[in-house]
This record gives sequence, structure tokens and C-alpha cells, in this order.
Amino acid sequence: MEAQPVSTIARALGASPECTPAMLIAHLRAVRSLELRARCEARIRTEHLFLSAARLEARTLARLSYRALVDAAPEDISAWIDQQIEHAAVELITEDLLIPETAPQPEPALEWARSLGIEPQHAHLACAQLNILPIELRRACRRLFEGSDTLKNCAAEMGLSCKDLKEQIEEVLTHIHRMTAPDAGVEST
Amino acid sequence: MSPPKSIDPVLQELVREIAQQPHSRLLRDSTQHASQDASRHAMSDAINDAISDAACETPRGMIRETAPSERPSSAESELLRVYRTQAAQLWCDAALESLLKSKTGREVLFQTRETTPAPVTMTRIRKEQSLLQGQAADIGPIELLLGICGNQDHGPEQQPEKCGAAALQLARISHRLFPSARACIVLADAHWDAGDRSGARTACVAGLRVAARMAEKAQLHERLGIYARQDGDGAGALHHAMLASRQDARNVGVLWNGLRTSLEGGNERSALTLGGQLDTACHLDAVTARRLADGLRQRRDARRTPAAITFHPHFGRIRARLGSTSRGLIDAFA
Repeated sequence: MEAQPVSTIARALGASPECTPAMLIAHLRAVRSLELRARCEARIRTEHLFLSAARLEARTLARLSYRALVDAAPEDISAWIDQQIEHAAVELITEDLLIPETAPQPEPALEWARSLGIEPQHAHLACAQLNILPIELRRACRRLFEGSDTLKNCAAEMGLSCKDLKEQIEEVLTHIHRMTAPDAGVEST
Repeated sequence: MSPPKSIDPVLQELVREIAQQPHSRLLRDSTQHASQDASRHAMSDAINDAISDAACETPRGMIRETAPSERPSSAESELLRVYRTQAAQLWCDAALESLLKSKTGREVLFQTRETTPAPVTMTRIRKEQSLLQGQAADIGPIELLLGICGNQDHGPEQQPEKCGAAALQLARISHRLFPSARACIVLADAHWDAGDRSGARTACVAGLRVAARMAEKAQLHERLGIYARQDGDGAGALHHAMLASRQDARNVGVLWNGLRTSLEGGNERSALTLGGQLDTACHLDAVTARRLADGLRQRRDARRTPAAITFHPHFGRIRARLGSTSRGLIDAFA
């Protein structure tokens, strides 16, 4: 039996499957109904990530443009877009860990970096480390650093004692301070 | 072509609109929207709008490429990195496919559902390669990929040794292109297949440094636990098995490995904890549970001797306290 032609998402979105990813970027940028910025912001909020929404949106747009020409049209395009956002976030987190010098300063980090005694230029290093913490601990860190919640509430939500949570956060901060110390070298993989 | 069957109403409308009236109104909307929000995203939107405005249809209804003199938008700058990660993904999929045909892949089912690759066919390679045009020199030897996958397309019977060596080579290239946790997992298994436990351990440790997903961390700890067990380090094996189960309590393979390690060490407390988690995970993912049980039965039949776990003095007592699913898996294996 002859194989069916693969239907790409690009075709479903009205673009030619022969166009390049760069051409498709301009096309997808114009499609406001995709609500990419809102989706990226929602992902950052629900995952408590220390990433810039603009950067995540740009990477997602680039990724969508590439994958739209490769993937077969899914049943649920909305879910497919969310999946691409998730992949884009993981890629950015990995890159920030591996090549931190290329990572831009995420806006939210600068706000609390000062209160933690971290130089603003090292905020991205701290974000890279925070982004690979388990989500519950990341959520607690975010709330505590921003001053939007208390240690007691965060500990209760995680089912931990205040002492245990404090110890975990102190461990994270010690690690971050070690990473951002003036004489600290960047770990290589 | 007809639009996808079930998408949300906004996207449904979008697909319909673009298909009927390619992009003209949508582009106008984008420009207006950007000018309204100019104060918020002044710089990036100005650049991006310039590109949006520049995009227009060719006589055949396609979008033409932006002029070379225009500054790239942030998304276009990101495209270079996307090329790299997508190429790495392609190499990683090919490595995993080779690995599954190797001795390790045939005898030990390490891979879980999350890492099952899309099949790497010649069509797929050529399709993605056409998108990577101009980047190939930087990205790596596509000929190697074509050669290996081309050979694999010719027949189902491959020499497991050759497939293992190809997997190692492909995984190394993938790791060099973009060292993702997934690439590290495949690289570790390829090293393991080649009998290089030290290389496998190094790959796992490197993977743990970059792993952002809990499921990936669990798989890396699972492997470190297996290597520790092979080295006779029971405490290390249990430590990694417990860490793996904490990272991903839904992965049947990870939990089974933890339960087996606990039983080998006669650790009743961790065996009961992991047994409880395994019962739940098997209930939620019955297909994987059945596949695991079949695999364990095959290994028992091939071994023809009782498993090491049965020799522990407390085995019978701990086994009796486990839930029925865990007990069933143990009986299938022991």
C-alpha cells in the first residue's frame, strides 16, 4: 500500500510546506490568535521558572517555525504548541547551565538578586541553578525571594517543617553564592 | 488540505481564516497591535514589526523571505540555536534506534516511553536536512547519519555489535551538537553496551548537570544505581534507586529497579515503600506493566536459575507483605 503524504502543520496554517523556517517566523508572528506571549507567561507562572517571557517567546517562535515544517498536523494544535513551549523552556534552561555567559539577564532575577547579595551580573547564573530545582522548592524560593509569602506557609504547602525548608533553601543559596563568587569557575560538562 | 479535526475554537477560526485569506488582515492586526503596545516592548517589537511588514506574498501566495539588509528579529536569532538542537535531536533519535537493535537494546529494556524516538527514516533525514540547509557544515557529518540509517533501512537483521558501535558514534555527535539530558542517557546506554561502565557513569553525571525534567533525572539515577549494583556497591545502588523513585514515581521501570535493589539488600522499609509506588504506577500504566512482566519472565526463562533476590534470608517475609502487583512482578522475575 502506498504511504499517505505527510500533512504538515505549516500547510494547515496556510503556509507553503516549501517555505523555510525563517520565512515561517514572519508568518507566525502575525498570527495573534496563537497567543504565544500569553502562553509563555502562563508556562513561566505555573512552572515558577526564572526565565524571561520575551526570550521564551522568541525561542518558541523559532522552534514552532522549524517543527511546523517537519511534524505531521496533530489532532490538537493547541496542545502541540504547549508542547513546543515546554521543549523551548527546557532548551533554554539547559543552555543557561552550559553556556551561562550567553544567557541574557532575566528581568525578575534582577529584582531579588540584590536582596540575596548577588551581583546583578550574576543573576542569570542563579536563575540557571534555580530552574533545575524540583518545582515545589522552586515555587517556595520564588515566593520567599519576592517576599510574597512566608516560610511557614511555604513549608506547610510542601509538607515540611520550617526548619527543613530553611535548610533546603540555605543549601540552594550556598550553592548559588559559591557559583557566583568572584573566583568561581564555571563547571564544564 | 482540510484543517485538523479537533482544535480549540480560536485556532479553528485561525486555520480557516488563513486558509481562505492568506495573512493580509492578520499582518495588519499585528502592526496595529504593536503600535498600541509600543511603550511596553518598544525595541524588540519595532524590529519584529519591520520584519512582519516586510513579509508579503509572492505571486503564488507564498511568503517571501525578508531582505538581507533587515536586522533579524530575536526569533530569527534564536533559529540558529533551534537548528542545532533539532539536529542533535535527529542524531539522538538515530542513536536510540541503533541502540534498540544492539545487544543491550535487545536484552535489557532500559528505555521508557518518554524516550521512544520517532523512527529515523531516509525520508525524515532528508526532510529535516532540507531545513538545516546551509547549516550542515557546522552541524556535523550528515553522511554518517545517512550511511548508518540507510544500511538499517535495508533489512531487519542487523549485527547487534555494529548497531551498538553506531549508536555510540551517533550519540557522541548528538551530545557534541547539544548536550541534552536525553543525549546523555542514550550515550550512557551506548557506553554500557560497549562494556565501558566508566564512560556510562560519566555520561550520567554529565546528564544530571543539565537535566531539567524530573523524569530524566530519574532515568539517570536509575542507571547510576544499576552501575553501583554491578560494582557490588549495595548502599550506592539503593541510594540512587531511592533518588530515582523520588524524582519520578510514575515510571514503572525505575520503581521495579528500586524494588529489586531493595530486595537484594534485604531493606524491608524501602521495599515496602517502592512496592506501594509500583502498585500504583502499574495500575496507571497497565500496558508498560504487562510489557515489564513479559520481559522479566523471558529473563527468568533464559537464566534457568533463581534470581539473586531469592537468596536473601528476609525475601519470603518481605515478599508476603508486598501488594499483589509487585508480588506478581517478583514472581515473574525470581
